[in-house]
Amino acid sequence: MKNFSIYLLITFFTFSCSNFSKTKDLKSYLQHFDTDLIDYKIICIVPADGCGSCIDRTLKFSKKTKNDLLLIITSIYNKSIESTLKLYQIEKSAIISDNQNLAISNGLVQLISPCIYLIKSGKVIQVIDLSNDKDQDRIFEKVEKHLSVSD
Amino acid sequence: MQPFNKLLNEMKIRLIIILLTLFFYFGCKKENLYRDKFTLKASDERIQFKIDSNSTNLSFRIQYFPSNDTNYLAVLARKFNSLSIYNLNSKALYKKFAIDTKGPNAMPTSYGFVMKNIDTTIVVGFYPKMLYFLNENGVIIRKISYEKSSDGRLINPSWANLGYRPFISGSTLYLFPAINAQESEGILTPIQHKHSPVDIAINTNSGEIKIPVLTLPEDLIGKDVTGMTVCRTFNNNNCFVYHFSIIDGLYVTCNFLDYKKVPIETNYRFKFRENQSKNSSDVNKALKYNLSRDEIIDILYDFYRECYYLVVFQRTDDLGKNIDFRTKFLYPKGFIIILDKDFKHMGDVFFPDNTYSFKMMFITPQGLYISEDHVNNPSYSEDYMRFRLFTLEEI
Repeated sequence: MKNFSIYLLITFFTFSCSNFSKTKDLKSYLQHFDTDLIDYKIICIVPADGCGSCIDRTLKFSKKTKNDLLLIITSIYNKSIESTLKLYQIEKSAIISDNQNLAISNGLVQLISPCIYLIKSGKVIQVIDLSNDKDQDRIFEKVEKHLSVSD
Repeated sequence: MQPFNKLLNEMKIRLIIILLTLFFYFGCKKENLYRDKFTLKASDERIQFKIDSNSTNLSFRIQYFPSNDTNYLAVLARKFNSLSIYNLNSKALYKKFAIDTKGPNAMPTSYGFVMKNIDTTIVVGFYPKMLYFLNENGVIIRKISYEKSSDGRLINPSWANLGYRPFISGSTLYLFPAINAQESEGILTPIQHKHSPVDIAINTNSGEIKIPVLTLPEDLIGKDVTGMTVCRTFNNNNCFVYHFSIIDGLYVTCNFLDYKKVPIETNYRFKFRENQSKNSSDVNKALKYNLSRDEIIDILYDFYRECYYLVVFQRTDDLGKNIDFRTKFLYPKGFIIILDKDFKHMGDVFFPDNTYSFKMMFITPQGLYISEDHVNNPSYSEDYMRFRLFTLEEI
């Protein structure tokens, strides 16, 4: 029983620290674009040069979600970002274009698949990396649920 | 006498220290095995094209070809589903086709292409496995399915880019098959080896598809082939030259029955990748590992000067923090090994960092053109495609 409590505490601290560190990293990244976590419940970072089927659903979901969601499209090429916006008919003003690929060099998203950050009161509470978790139905159900809950 | 003896002893000690230092210095110094006799010299000749918003200055699928006394460069932009053909003489765009993914002229998942001549382009499709023959206007005039070989074997091709590029010789199109050893956790077993061909030959007139009997080199049996890449070229004797990324040496076949293995004559000490399956569960770990190892990403045969250029993705020992993996993989630090037609060392050529884009080069009668569109080159622009001519010069 004593051991179990210790494991529980370690697990709790590990995850708290990990999310604390992600909050810090994401906050500092967003400063490049003069924005802050506090304004959003969901932040989706999508690599424009990722695989088509990997980024498709996140882009479609982000497009239809008007409130509390920030979509960031990242690439080293402006042309890639522009063609992604054109393909999905997304307004440039509705997103952040990371044309220096800072999200990738800061480890906030992987090369191929998007990463979704669930935010509560300006803090990251969960990171969903779509390159590790392929169950997109479950992922977007969870994201919708998070969006529907008020702070 | 005593001070003299003391001085003598001190001198002896100093002499021993000097001798030891010299011994270690010369003992540890790496001797260059080969003398560089040739180099690639940057000339003043440059080619520059203004490109539009649906064209790219980085493509792993490009082809130089001469036709009617004119030189052309074809560039496939998969991201934008387009194929641009540039006239190198007039330094202007000659033609641009859309590679449609829907509709009557659809070529879904175009993996690569070959220009048979200025009027005929063959696009290699993957889903479905189909060759599309396009006329001078980019319209499909014929299709050949390559799902199965003529003896009924299923075909699984590899990426048709860089060193995997398709070749056409006469009426035969050569593709490279994919390598798979997932069932044995990446280890190539003798049975898998027996079923791992290294070529697919498609007769573009009759549609006959042959898989030659030659399989992967026996040296690979028992090795972890996860993530192994392959590059190959063919020379003016119709021999194919292969490099398999996890083993040293080149493998040459002129009959698709057996190989001759030749060493890579270079003064550079390679550290090739190995046992990559152990990193397969952690993407970042795998990417870091790959950057810390060398890879030969392309072999180009220079028909005009009868030599080979081995393009090396050079390892980075100190990766530091905040690694931009995409930039590092798309624009590797690289160098070129020049070998003569008999695979003898001609030179190792190193280049300044952040200047050239080593995944985009082509050979013409004038020399080797290397892209200057490295994303960290201060003069980089997405709106231009630029190449610098390098000439082979004796030192």
